[in-house]
Amino acid sequence: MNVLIRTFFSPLAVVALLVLAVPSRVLAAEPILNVEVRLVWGTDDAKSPHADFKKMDPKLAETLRRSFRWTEYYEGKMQKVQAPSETSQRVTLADDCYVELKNLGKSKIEVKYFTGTKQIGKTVNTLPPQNWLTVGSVDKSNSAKFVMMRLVPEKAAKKETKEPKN
Amino acid sequence: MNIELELKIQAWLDNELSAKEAAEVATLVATNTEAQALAAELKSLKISVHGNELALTVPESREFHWSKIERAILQAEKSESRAEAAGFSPFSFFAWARNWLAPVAGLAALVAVLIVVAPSSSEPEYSETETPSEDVDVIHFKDPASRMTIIWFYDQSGNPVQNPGSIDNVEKPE
Repeated sequence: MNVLIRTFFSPLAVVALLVLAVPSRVLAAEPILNVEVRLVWGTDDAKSPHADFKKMDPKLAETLRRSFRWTEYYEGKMQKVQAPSETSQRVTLADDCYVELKNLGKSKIEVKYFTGTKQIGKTVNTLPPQNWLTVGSVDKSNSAKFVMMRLVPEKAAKKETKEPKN
Repeated sequence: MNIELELKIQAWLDNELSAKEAAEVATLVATNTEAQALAAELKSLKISVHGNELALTVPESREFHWSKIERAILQAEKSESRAEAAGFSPFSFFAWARNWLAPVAGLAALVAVLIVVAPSSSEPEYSETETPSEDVDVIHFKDPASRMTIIWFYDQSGNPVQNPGSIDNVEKPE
């Protein structure tokens, strides 16, 4: 028994366990992309076009305002999506707007952008942490729709993994 | 007189010869002056060694003497292990190094290899956009300040982008 304990806790045994653990962690990296997605309306109306849309973060709104003619930007409820490797996920953002996300691996994500039943475009981009990827187009009544995506910050992703939603 | 005879005389004095040999040597010593002189010298030496040998006595019993040695050995072992536990012994460092240094060095080498071989978390930037309709065009914006990439799809009949030059790396529509 004593010999077994000494063998198990010997330096070589500890190192062997680490050697087995490290590559599996490296190889298992990034199997799922945790992405948060939100719809943003661009309009000239001072009032939100929908009750559940609120004024967006001023810094991000300013980024859009610098390049687009709309003066007001309202954001909808943020949705969190888990995108497993090579699997498409449809995220419905409004009655007539959805995106299909596909995790291509190595932080690359494919976004297919739809309004109504029509695919407006497809884009493949790297999505580094803390970066936004936004796709958008003109909407009816001369407003604009933007779909903003970014990786869920690591802390929030870990917290959600520990406390799954009921 | 040869060496063999000298040794025989010495053995005769020590009573190590058989009766026959002893008688022969006794005759030789009686008749040969050289043998007689050697025998006398050896006898004198033997008497002086035996008579003047110092008598050494151990001042303690045999059991007590060996138990002292045993206690000294045990004491030395205890001192060494205490010093190792306190980390003062130079031997403890070498023992630690022998146990840990080689495995840790191997692990460090492995981690270094994995860092080089494993895919980097910061992949090179990649962007590719396509539109299914020829009437739809695309502008690709990047704003490093807010870390935002914007892919804007628009109908070629009307471009709502009013000031694309305000954002870096703008691809203007043709």
